[in-house]
Amino acid sequence: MKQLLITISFSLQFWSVCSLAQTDDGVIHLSLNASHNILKNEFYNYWNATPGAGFNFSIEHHIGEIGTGLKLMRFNKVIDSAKSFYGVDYYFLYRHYFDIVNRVAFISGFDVGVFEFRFDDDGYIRTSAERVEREFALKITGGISYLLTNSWKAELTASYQHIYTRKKINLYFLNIGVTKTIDMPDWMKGFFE
Amino acid sequence: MRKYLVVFFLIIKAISVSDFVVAQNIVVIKGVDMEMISLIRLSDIYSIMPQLDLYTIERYRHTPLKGNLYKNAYQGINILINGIRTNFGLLDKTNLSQFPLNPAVIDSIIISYKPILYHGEFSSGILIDIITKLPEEGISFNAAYSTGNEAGDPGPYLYTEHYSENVDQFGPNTFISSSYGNENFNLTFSFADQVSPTTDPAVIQRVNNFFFQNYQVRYSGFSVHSAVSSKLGDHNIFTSFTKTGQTVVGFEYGADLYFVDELSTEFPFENNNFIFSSGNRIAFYQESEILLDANLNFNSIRKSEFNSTSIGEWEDLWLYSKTGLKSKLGIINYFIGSSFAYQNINNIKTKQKHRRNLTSVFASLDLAASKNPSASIDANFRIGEYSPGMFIKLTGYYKFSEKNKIGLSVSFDNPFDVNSFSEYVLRNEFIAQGISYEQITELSKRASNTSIALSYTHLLGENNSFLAVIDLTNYSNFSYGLNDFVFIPDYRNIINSGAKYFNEVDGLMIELSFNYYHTISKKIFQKVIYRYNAAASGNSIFAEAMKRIPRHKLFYSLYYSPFTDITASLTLNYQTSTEWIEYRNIESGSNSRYLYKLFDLMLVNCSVTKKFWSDRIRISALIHNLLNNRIQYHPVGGTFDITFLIKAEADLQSIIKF
Repeated sequence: MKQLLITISFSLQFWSVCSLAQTDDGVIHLSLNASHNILKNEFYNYWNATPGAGFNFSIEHHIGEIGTGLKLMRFNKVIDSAKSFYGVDYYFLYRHYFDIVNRVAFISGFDVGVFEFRFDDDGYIRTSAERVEREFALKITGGISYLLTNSWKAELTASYQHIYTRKKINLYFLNIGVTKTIDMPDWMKGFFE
Repeated sequence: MRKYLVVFFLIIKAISVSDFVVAQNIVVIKGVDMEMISLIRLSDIYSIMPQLDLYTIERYRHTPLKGNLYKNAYQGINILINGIRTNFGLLDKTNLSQFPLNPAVIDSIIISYKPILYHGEFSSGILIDIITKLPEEGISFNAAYSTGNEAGDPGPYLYTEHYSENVDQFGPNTFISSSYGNENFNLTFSFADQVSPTTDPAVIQRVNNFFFQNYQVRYSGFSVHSAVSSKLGDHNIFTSFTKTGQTVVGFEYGADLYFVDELSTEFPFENNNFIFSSGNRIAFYQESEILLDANLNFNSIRKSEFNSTSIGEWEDLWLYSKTGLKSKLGIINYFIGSSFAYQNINNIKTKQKHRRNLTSVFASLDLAASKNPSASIDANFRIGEYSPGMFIKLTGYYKFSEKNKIGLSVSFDNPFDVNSFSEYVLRNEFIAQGISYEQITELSKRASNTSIALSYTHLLGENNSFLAVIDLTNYSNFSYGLNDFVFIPDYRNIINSGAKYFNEVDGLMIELSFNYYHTISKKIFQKVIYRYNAAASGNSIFAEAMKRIPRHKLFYSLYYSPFTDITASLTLNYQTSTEWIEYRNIESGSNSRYLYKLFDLMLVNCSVTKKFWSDRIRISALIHNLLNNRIQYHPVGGTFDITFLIKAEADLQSIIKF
């Protein structure tokens, strides 16, 4: 299932980059979304995830939508020896939209970045280095978007995240969000060129 | 031997090849290469140079595989800047990453990996000439910041039964440069600051004696490069100061590391280095010019402030000068001259001094009258303290059509040349074993390489080129110490359980390479290189020693620039497994971290760069070892997992004009 999802996602993205179908419209997308973990695995023997929230900033480019994002989630320990932590996900993002029918599009994309584990201080943390762990993370995303108005759209996506810790962590999310599209100010157009 | 020649000529008939200077085994890394791979540190160029055979322990310092392999044939790395010698390095190790230049001020890097006489400089190992950019008019500014993280940290499992050690974080690396240029004068200032990890479990597992404070190497340095040109000639000055341990910026301490091949361990140390290099070209008479180069290099090496062992503390001074005359005599362009080097290695603790002089005369003759065929002769004769040596090379090219060219070079050299610390150590080591001074001298004299290289280049249209080279090198009378390294887990230490010396190591090495360069469109460029290397004949110890050189190497690179503001690169390096006979008993008790036979390597790196503000700002994301294979270049070296790096660069050209 996981391999199939990865294969489909990267095939779509490879095709989209090669086709270079999207155009540079000089717009900015600001997105707010909520995430919830699904498909529990061994990780959940140690931690339970609470719903999280994220924010994306992206621009239109000829190759697709590119930008950055941040997501915050809380993970509460299940066993005493573990530590609860906030998971902060910083990433670069790429998205491509494939129109299906009027107002509805299929979304395919991936994120590359760093997942940060910010541990609760339960009195045993001595140094700042023990408070924070970071690791490289990849995420693929697919879903549906619905154009609400000319500048607003709603999105429902699922994503799979792989965090490259020594004992690998796989997380599966269901995401729902809204995206506001605004015209890029002239001064900013010069910057993104 | 004969069968190899037959195979070669069959291949050469079947494959067509390119229009590069090949018989001299020179590669040029251009600015576009460095930009496309999003160079983080200078040593990243090694990842796109399969022609070089290097090992690295900690992905920070690179050493030629043949560097100190033969005791009487040191083949290290020599760094030049704009053709001027710098003697940069620490004793006999040269860390390109620590050369204090912002990569943004580099136009290209010329690398020779076979014996060569280059601008009068003889190199038996790897010669790297860094060519700087001519600064834009007025004042320009560049700053680059990068950092990265190797996968494999414990993450939240840090506080569970799945606990593991933290692994490497690369960086931050910071480069800043500023330049001023006008028609006749330019000045460039560079500053570099780097943090490199020393946390790899393979290193930590065997260095019980040392405590690496903060488990990182800290380095910073700056350089000033200026050039003046007039009708009378050109004058270049390069000065630099670099520091490891307690660096110029920041308060954290991080000892540098020196890996000693003979002991199979590293020593923590700190170092201050100062370089002054000057190159002067003076127009003399009609088409004649005089070249005057001078260099001073000083290293002050102290043991790490947290190291309680009795390793030495050293001062290493180089003084060097070169004088040459470049002119034309009838149909011959010539460059003749001489150089003088003085080195003083001072062991501060024992007060023992190792002083030596190295005088050299050289001549390069280029038969320029006939462009087809063309020919050149390079010769160098050196008189060392006790080890005279020579180098002579004949090169010829014949272009038998517009698209086809064949080249042939024949060379002979004594590779024991710019040795420094290795010579000192070798002499002490031999004397300790009762080998007389005369015997040492004899050994040093006798080692020689004789090489014949044949190249064939072919242009297949404007966008395709092929190149094939066969190189046969005969090694004669090399001296080899067969060590037997054993890992002692209880003491977290590696010992040499016995060394055996072989003083007449002979053999014939065959090397074949095929290169294909293809510009698919203005947006896509690809390159494929295959290299085959093997001992064709020789005594058994030669064959065993040379197994550390990968037999097959395959390299592929793809540069893609779909739009002016986005570039991407993909590089693939594959090499077959290698065997290190000195480490035949290393695996026991090492938790599979140490290997006698290293695995095949498949390293895939990729990068994407987005440019902003009309190329004034660049943001790059890089993934090294995308397939997350086990990458290990040395039997007791670190293993490198998938690593994610980001780089941000601001490049403001001619922001102030006068």
